[in-house]
Amino acid sequence: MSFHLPNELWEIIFDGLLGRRRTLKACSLVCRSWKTLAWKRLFRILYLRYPKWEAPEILPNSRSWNVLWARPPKQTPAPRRAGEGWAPMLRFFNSPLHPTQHTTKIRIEIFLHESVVSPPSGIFKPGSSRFPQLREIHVSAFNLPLRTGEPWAYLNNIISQVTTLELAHVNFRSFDDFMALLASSRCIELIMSDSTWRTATNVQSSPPRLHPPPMHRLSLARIDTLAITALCDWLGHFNHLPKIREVTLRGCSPNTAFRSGYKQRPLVSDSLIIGLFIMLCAS
Amino acid sequence: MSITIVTSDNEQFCVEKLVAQRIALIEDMVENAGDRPIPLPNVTASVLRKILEYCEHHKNDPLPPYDDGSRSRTTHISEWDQKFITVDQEMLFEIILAANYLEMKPLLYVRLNVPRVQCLTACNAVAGDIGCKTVANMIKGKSPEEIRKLFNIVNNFTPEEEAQIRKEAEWAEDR
Repeated sequence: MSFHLPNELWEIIFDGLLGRRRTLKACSLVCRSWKTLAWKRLFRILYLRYPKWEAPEILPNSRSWNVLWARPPKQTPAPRRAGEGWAPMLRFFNSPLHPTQHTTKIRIEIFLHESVVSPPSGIFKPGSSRFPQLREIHVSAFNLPLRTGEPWAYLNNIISQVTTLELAHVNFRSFDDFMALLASSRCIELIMSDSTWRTATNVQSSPPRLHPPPMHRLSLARIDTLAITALCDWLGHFNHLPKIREVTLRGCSPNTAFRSGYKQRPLVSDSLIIGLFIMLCAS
Repeated sequence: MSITIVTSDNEQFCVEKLVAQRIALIEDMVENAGDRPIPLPNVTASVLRKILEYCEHHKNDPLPPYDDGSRSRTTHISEWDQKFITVDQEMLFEIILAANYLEMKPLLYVRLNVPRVQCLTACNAVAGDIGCKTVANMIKGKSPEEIRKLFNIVNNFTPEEEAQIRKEAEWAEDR
């Protein structure tokens, strides 16, 4: 009895198994060709949560650099020793079988607080060979404390082909870190909420060298207005503002300094200023 | 009006045109064939009989929607289709292959002037609709060994490879 079907038909059959992880796991163990079909669907979207605890039910309504998402201490199991928690994830990313070669989207939820060890430096190795198809990254609460050194270098290593980047509750050490992350990507759509950077770069006095990615859509929610100013200055410096087709602002309360600041900056596109201002007022 | 179809095992079928037109490949060939019989060298009589049974039942169905790549992931099959596809596995795979070869649904898209490239996508959807959903349903919930037995597949993993795959798959939490 022959069960040879063209590969495109097996692809359709396996599409019928999407979301059925137990079955896909079983299929991946049938034979080599089935492993590829199953892994394509099993690891297409990665949800990474660390620690592997439930998210806090009520998220703190704060965009402060110093406030981290954290569970109540009673419910927070402390890691037995430093780095232990990251080891399995590290092994997975660096597996010789390259399960992440099929990954198109990563959703990362990391709840850091004083008893949680930050990601190790080798979590995302340089070069995108392990994530050749990665196009979307969504990060929530990647609130790395100051002690972590170069936290964003990890994501920079895999972001080169990413076109959609969502950052929620992400606090950068500086605007330079934020620029470096974005400049490493091919980001078309940037979605940011409750995120900020600790120190701003004066784009006017110290022109940035990193070019912004080809962004077309910006969605900013509850972002510090000074941070938005820095972003606009950076985009304006490279004459990128006219390329932005869609801007959505939510909960970004304007202040006088922000508005007057725009008036003094000829690099920022007038139309975008007007658009931003109208939306800020509306929100 | 009817047309004649000749299968790979030289059996002739006289088919109502309305029924035959559910099959895209035949629709394409009818115009050039004139009154001559249409040969289907890749389809046996037993399989064509089943395909025609399906076409006869669905001949008055509305045109299927254009497949834009977001094919339905549901594996639900209607009662009649379920009964129709309740065949042995060899026949099931023959039907899938034949449906793929016969490009059944694209016929409808050609008539709607949908570009050929889109037709090919739709064509795949055809074979997937019932046959592929049935195969997917057969796989669900089975162990690797049960699947191998079901489809007569040889395990070509080394023990080390299998162990490594099991380890990676631990990341995919069950639900």
